Amino acid sequence: MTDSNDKRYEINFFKPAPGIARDNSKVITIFIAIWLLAVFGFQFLLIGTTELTPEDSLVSFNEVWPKVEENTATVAEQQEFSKSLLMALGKNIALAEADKNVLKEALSITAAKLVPGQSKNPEAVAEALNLKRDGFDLLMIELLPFSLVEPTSTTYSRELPAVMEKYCSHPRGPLTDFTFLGFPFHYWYTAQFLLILFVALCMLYTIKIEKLYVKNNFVEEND
Amino acid sequence: MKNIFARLFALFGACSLVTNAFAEEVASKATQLEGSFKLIPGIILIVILVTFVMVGILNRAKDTSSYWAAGRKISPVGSGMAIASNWMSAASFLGMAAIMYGAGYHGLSYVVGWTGGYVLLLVLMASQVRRYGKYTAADFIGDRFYSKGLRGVGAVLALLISLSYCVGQFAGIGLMFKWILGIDYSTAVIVGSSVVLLYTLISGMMGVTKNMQIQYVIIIISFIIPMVMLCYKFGYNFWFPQVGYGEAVTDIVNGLPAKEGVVNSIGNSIGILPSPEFAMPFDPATGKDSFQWIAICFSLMIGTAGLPHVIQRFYVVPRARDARLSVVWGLFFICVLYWSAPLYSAFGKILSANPEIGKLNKDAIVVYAAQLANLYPPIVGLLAAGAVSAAFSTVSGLLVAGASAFSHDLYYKTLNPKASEKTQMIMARVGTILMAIIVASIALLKLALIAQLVAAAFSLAGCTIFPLFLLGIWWSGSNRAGAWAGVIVGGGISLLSIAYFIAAKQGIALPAAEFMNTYLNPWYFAWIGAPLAIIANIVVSKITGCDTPIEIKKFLATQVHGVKLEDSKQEKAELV
Repeated sequence: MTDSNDKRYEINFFKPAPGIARDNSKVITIFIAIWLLAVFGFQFLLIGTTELTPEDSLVSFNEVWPKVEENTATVAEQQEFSKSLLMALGKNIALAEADKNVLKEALSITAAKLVPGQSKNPEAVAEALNLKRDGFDLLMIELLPFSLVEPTSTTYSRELPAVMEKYCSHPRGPLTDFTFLGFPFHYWYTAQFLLILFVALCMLYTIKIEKLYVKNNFVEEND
Repeated sequence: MKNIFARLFALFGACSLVTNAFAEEVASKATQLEGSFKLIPGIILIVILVTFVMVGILNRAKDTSSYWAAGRKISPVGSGMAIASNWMSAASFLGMAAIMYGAGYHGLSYVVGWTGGYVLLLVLMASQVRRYGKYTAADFIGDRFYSKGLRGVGAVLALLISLSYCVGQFAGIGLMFKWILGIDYSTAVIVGSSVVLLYTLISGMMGVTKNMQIQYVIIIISFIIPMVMLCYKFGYNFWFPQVGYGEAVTDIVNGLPAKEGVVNSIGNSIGILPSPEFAMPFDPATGKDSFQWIAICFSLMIGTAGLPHVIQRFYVVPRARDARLSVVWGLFFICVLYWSAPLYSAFGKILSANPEIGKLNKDAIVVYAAQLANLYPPIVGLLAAGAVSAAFSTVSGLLVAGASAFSHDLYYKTLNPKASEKTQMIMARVGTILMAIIVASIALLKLALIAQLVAAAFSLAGCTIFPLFLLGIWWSGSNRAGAWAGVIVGGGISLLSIAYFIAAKQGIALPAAEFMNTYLNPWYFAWIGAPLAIIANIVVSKITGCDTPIEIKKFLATQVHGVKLEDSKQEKAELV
């Protein structure tokens, strides 16, 4: 007879019995360590190697914003300013409704200065901004009908710089700027490599564990 | 297998005849985004559904063993396909692209979470669960923790998890029925729910498993063909679109200039202004940070290893070795789709860049992407039918798992052990009907995105079932009291999170709501709930003396973990 404290029957992952249980625990520990490191280690690496980097449109915005705010911007600076706002508005679904309205309002105030009386006329504004019917300019022209509103004020919202900062600066670093198979590397690693790794880990584990069973003469009871 | 391919061949033959005949005259209708009946997609859907029901009838369950576990007659590849089909739900087919479309790199936490969990499942559970030899998750819990009460709790948890998981699927079915039939969402949910319920009642697990293999092939084909066409149409590598779309992602980051005359189906120039927030990690523009990425990924992973209907699949393979192989095959088949899903979000992002398109329902972006790209209407229809297949394959498995929990674990094992086979079958069907009604009612409320609704089921499984299986298999000291403590802590945290979510939806302001929304969010509360449940289980087991009965310890050591004991031959014989 055996009692309930019989140590021979204890199963503890961290204190495995000699033989197959110990070998199994070692293999599992190694596989889980690889798995954890590959998934979460990489994300921590990303956190550590990226920093907020402004888009070109934010750089342009920051250059002209003080003058636009003080109402001393030249026409060229106002055009530059408006294009930077359109670049942000082009993010469309990424924008929160309130932030979108701040951007639209700012664009419309500037449009009213550039083409007085025609600030809601997309064609007139496109011409005033010197937009061509090609490339990014064409996309901006198509944005105008949905971006021009009746301004509720003649002064710009104080939130505008923060809104631009929020949408036009991004965490970037060597792992995001290096491209692999056409992808930004970090994106490929997470979207594709990790999945390949998971399948490989599962396959290797199946092979390894069966070798262990053979080595330890373990016959699975349901076989 | 030959049978499956013969049926598929017939199915696609029928589809192509129908589609060729009607394609031209309905082309204009099928390119409308919403609000009209789409004939070709409708016909494809009906042909596929009729095929499913026919296969269900031909492979109908004859007794409870067939209904619950397909008579353990499924090969590892077949079981792998069934695992994949069962897994590739509306959340995989529609939901992942939706999350990535809206939140960029953040959405990849779902891709990684829903695949990485299989590594845990394989190394920690698959063969051990199979060697333990029980039919359902509740069976295992009740037996391992020698408690009828815990068996009942396990059954209720399995039911709740299946319910929560099903809500997302029913929402997906409703969305696709709405798109195809041009009816409102509520009617679409009711029609779709009725069809899936009818199918599950007719077929049971045997039909379900056979169908799952067919469904897998349909899901993959319907997902990959439009993908190849999208890459071909926009000049990306279409021979291997899973790699080809990489350049599309880079184009989104750097911007894709428009060319005059190159337009989408509603006449907007195809192109996008620089949008790095789509691909950059933890971008402030998405409103999602690194903590959320890690918490979601971790919660989905442990949820995967704790989902009753996934664990239950290991009972339908003949041997423990097959259980392991079926995970490998299953994961490979799943990854074929998961490698592809982000492509639709990328093309959806480019094609819907113009505000004229308005706010699209993110959950349907997969179909909208194909539609906005002006793909051949039957191809768009096939994609929508594939989405319905994905939801069907998962819902039928979930309804069977839920019915098993209701009939086998709650009714037969807990309430009426003398129930006849016939009564059990009736109860299984009653359980299925009740579940379908409850799920359809919740789906009508449109609480969140499909992937998020499903993620809540994963967190619930991760907080409750996962700790019981993990400690039940790997620590013989975990006893009944410890298991109860773990369930109470894990269940309590789940309840708290869901209560805050419901309160917020009802506009009720509870204290510390912002803190709770960040750290105990319903989509990822398992990141903290599961570790706390494990700790509670360990601490209470230790306090109460780790008094697991010796028979269970012996069984675990010899049968499940293969520990060789000097006197084991005689003892093993006693146990068997």
